[in-house]
Amino acid sequence: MFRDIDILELLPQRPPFVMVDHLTDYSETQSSCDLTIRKDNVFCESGMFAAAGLIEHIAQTCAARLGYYNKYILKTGVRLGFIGEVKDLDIVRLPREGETLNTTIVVMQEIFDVTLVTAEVRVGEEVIATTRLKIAQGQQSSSS
Amino acid sequence: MVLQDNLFSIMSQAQEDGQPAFQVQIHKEWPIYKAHFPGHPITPGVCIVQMIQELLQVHLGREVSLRKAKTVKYTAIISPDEVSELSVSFPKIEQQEDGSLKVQAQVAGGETIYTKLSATFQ
Repeated sequence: MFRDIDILELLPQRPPFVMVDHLTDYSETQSSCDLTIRKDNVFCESGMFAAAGLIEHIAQTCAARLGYYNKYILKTGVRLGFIGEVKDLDIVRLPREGETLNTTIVVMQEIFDVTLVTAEVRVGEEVIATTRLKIAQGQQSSSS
Repeated sequence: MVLQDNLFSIMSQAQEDGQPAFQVQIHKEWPIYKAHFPGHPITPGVCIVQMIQELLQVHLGREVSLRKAKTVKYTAIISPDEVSELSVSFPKIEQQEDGSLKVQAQVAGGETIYTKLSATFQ
């Protein structure tokens, strides 16, 4: 059911800077998103998805969770979000064009507008990257 | 996405204590600012990482990619309406036995430090 939501409803970012396709799972403490790497993705160069794109994809998995919470649970608007810190990032390998990323974030701590998560990016069963992120929420988005 | 000459241009390149330091200009007309975010242009944090990677490549004269990051800390937002020039310095670039590079980088403008990175590139 989460999959059916237009991802743009949940995010403050707009194309071509949208790095998740669907919210695939949501709970208060854990959420997942997917992304298929297409040739026209701005972070796709020579068939490879750049490290910066991978981090943005993880951050937008957090954004989609917060967007769902703000829109469908609090019934308010989507808010802007910012990365406060990337910690203990480990990229096993970069994704390739055509691959589908499945990313799960687990909320470790949430204090006011700051969320700390751990994240795992998989292609099929293979874990290709892990990290911790600190995300801060800002003002309401003008695109929602 | 290549950011050099799109998001930023190199104005000057110097050495500080044997390590590279760049002065870059930020282009506020970069199209991604309309997507991140509509009506509120803010430099995506991940593009700061990409800019550091591209400047490292200019210094090394070869391609490298971020492999691990101990920390990338964003201490202030870079709004293109308020910030037009940044200095990017590399206090540490250290080759490891496996060929990877341990890198420390800092992005600043005037008195403000925007980003501090401690990472491994390969």
